[in-house]
Amino acid sequence: MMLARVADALYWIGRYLERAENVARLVLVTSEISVEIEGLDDDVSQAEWDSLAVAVPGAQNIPRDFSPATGLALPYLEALLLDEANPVSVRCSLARARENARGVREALTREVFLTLNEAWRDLERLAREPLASPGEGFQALTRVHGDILAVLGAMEHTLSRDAGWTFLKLGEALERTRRTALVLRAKLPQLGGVARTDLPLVYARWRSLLRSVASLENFRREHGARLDPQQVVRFLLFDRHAPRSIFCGMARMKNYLAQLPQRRNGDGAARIVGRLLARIEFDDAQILEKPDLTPFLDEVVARLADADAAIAREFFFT
Amino acid sequence: MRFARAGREYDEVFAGTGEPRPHYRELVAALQALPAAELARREQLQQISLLNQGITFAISGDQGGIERVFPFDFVPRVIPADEWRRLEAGLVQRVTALNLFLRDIYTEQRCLHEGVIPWELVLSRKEYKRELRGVVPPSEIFTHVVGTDLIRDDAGEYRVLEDNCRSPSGVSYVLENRALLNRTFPELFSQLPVRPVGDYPSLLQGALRFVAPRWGEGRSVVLTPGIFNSAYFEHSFLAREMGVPLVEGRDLVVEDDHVFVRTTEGRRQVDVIYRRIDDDFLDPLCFRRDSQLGVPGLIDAYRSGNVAIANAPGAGVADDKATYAYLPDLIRFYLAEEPRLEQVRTWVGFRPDDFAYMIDRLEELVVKTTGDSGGYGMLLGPLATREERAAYREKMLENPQGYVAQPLIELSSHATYLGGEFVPRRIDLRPFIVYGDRVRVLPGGLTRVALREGSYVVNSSQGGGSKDTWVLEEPEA
Repeated sequence: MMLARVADALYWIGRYLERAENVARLVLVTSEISVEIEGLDDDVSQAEWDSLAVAVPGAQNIPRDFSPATGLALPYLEALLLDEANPVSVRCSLARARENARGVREALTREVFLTLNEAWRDLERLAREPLASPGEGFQALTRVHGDILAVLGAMEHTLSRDAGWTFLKLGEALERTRRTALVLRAKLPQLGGVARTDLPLVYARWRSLLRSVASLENFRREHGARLDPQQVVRFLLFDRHAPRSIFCGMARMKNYLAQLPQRRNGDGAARIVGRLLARIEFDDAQILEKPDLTPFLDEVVARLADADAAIAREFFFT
Repeated sequence: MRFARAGREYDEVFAGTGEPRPHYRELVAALQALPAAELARREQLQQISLLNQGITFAISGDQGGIERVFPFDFVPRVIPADEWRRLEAGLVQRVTALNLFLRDIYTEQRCLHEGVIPWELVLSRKEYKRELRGVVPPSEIFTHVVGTDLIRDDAGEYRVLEDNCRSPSGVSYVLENRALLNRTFPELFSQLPVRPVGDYPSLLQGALRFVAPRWGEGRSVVLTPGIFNSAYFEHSFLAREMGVPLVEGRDLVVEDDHVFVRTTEGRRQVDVIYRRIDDDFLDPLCFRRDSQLGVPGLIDAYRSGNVAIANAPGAGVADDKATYAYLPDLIRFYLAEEPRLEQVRTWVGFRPDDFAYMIDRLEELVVKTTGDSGGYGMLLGPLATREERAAYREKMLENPQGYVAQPLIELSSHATYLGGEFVPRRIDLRPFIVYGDRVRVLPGGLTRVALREGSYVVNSSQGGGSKDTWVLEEPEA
């Protein structure tokens, strides 16, 4: 038996933790490529940072001015890692995940609450002092990222695979799929004109794209070190094994929804997800044939928003 | 490491000769054997552990509900088996009488007709719920859990200070303190036969199932006011330990005088509610209309016998500070026995002679308001200034019935590790008494300690901390 309120909280813990992990990783990866490129091509470096605004919708207080003198990374680190007023900052996501966990502590294990509480406390401690240098910021970021992975590990190892688990993972899968779509949406238009991945700078950007969604190693194992743009896009959209491909994310959501009691006919979450998954599974050629993937990616994001609303209607407001 | 000795109050650890009392001998030796740096290191470890586990409480009125750690002192309080046996028998007697009293005042009111206690003192209290007259809960149990506060006077005699019959808190700290001490000072435990406390959740669950209206079907829930309540940690802890849902008012719904919980699969019936929310907020249709925390219709479902509520609504009238003064008489009346536990002599403002005495001797007395708890609204006469006493006197004259007074008891003190040394600090004891198929007392309890030097106030909201409480196993015959 699962309380509707508890299911709601678990679903959002899944989403917030995934979001915190995603944003932390995006900032880490972006700062690395920007350090690599800075001095070579400052415009590209700036473009990489700018793409974060699209990949993380709702981000506020993101600095707009590029001034090499102050160091590019620091203001972004402050905004996306530590800013309490920014609803999608890692700090906000962690605080909300913990707030939710405090409200449903009896539905979690000691290990999960402990690691989550520690991650939150670590970040709160960091936030007390302004970051002194980008180097310190990266260190902090790496640590926070590790803290978040520890929470996810504790969940994997200790939580019972009951309905609570299903809601937690459903939230995680939705947030993750959405992120992959948003990252592609942010970065593909910038890379559209330059397919020459043999140029080091272009290669670095495609590599960074893959790393932004934790897929570089997975891609290389499948296709080798050469980064063919068509292959990269196909991989992130349709790969059957990569945990962050849109196909995999949708398939996970479908599975989780199938484990929950179906109580509503009409346009329920299962139907919304199933329809989109079928398109991705069988119409891949049609999708890829368009020169611009933006409309398709926008549609994925919109359908995921529909699915989110349907889940709330079906399971949380009973 | 040296231990500082107590003043004129009873010293729990050391006898008058300066030697440790027999049941503390091994413990004092074990603590003395640890180097100062090691003690400091372990105390640090405990602090971090408490914070990381989020074992915190919020102080009422604190801005933004800042979470604080409830300070924990690692020097355990030890109670020998024979002492505990006497306490246990006294507590069982007391809780039995309290339940007979509650049953009586909600039904026949014999104690009022026969003049054992003045009817105004009972029926005029806002804790007496006249809406519930005639409602007798399953098995005639009103208080499934009671926390009774005990102190020791300068002769070492245990005395009951008050009973908490509503939703006494603190038991989660009893269990967490034990677990924490287990991890940080494992070597201390090997010295003494300490009775375990870890089965409390099963004790509580047993008592809840015992009163479930649908036999064998008992679905219990813990009802909390929510995450901002100062005892939220405990509510969540108990739900987790018992493996039952922790619900808020909005999770429950009453239909046809039955209570249901909203789940992801629709609504499911609830049989027993362990509520940690005050009577007044339970049901906006019955008590406070502005309550956002309660469940509309809950009291009707309770009256119809379709749901059990622990502790029963209306039970709070039994722990009133004025009722307390009459409890020895009530014990004699219902059980025809002499009270096994001493109380503290109490003057009741309701009796004109008592009130005259109180007003006259403020500098000797501790005066409390009958309505407040948690150490609020209290005057410690001997420690107050002349101006404070005069101001308090004015307030008392406005409403004599709202006050009771007691002599200032020199609470016993116990060695406590503060600032790198062992110093005496005053303590009390709250054992937890669970009423299911019979009345049982958890062998242990919450020992609260006043961390400020000379302070008599042990409440967590006023700078108190806590200790692990070790009840020793009976020596084998």
